[in-house]
Amino acid sequence: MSNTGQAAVQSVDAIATFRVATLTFAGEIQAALSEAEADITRLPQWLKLDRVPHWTNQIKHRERQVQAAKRDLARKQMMTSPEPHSCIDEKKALQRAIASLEEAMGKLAATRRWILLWDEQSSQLRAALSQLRELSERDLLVLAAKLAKQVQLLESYLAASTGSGEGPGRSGQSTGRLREFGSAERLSAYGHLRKLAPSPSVRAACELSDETSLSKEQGPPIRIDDLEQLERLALQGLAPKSAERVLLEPGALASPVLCMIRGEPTMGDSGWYLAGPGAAGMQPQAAVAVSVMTILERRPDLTVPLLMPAGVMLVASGGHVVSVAEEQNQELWS
Amino acid sequence: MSASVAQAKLLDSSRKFTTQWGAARDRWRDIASARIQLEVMDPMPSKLQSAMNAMAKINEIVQMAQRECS
Repeated sequence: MSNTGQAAVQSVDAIATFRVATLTFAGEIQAALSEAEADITRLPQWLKLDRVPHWTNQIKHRERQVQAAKRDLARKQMMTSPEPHSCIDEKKALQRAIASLEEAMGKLAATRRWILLWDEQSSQLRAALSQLRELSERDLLVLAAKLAKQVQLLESYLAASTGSGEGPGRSGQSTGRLREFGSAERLSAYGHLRKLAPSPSVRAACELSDETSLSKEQGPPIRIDDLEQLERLALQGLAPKSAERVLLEPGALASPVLCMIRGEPTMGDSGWYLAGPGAAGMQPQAAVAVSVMTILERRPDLTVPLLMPAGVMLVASGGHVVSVAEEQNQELWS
Repeated sequence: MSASVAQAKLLDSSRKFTTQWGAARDRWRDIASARIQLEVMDPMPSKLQSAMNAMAKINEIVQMAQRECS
């Protein structure tokens, strides 16, 4: 192998390792941000729902104690026979009760002040955290996808330089599958997919699984040329967050034919549904839910497709995108 | 409270990630890696610092509020 080839092998290894580190770092940032944001949410709840009622009740209770101390003092002062009594103890008790009441009133005022202060501060703090959220939810995932592309390019170079002919874009099988998957079948499959994609209620009921629910085999990654063409279509939708769910047929990622359809994203749900070629015969209940991060760890090539907007469907066969259709099944792929 | 824990974890993770990037660059030096350095790695410290400052502020406020309202 040439020096250039050895350099490429070293680079592939370094880039692949760094891609894993990138995804791990993105996950760690998100976990740290979630913890910090939990504090932002928890503090006003504690102040409003716990401290305000607590100190309000304490004020009422301590007001009653002040009144009782005042009555005790007045009673003692009236007891003059046979000679005036000392009222020192009662006066001290009254002073203590008043001080206690003032403390509670001070605490309630401080609580209300913190509620106002927090309303002002929290939006600034959230804004300071948002840059990092953007880094973890967009920049690092895009970086991971670019690294995956880089690995594919170098592997392709290595395959070509060793004459294996197994690099991306050389598969005769893919062309065959393209022919198999003609226009009529494509539209028919889209029709089936649109009908059979799990409903929002099924999606919501589907519990999030980990990667063990997925097949260990990998389907062919989508070719770089096709990913670049897909980017040029500029079908930019709401970028799914890494923790959001994707529903999929358990074997979809291992299938040579991959169908992707995106419904409306909702809170915690990317709206994506992924299926293999048997989608038309599949029951929606068979779907499993995994996070976007889990999908991207298995299939980084899906980063660009997952950015497409709601209503879009994509079919890839043998690593080639064979069709992309918008909501009305209008073909966008040429 | 958790903002202080988050801040410490973030600092640790970012140090590890920077080290891993250094290790990757030792074996991968071309235009693509230079672009990653310029577009992702160089702007990252200021974003991290800004978030860690915010986490420190959250922690400080939470502690003060707890002290004054308890």
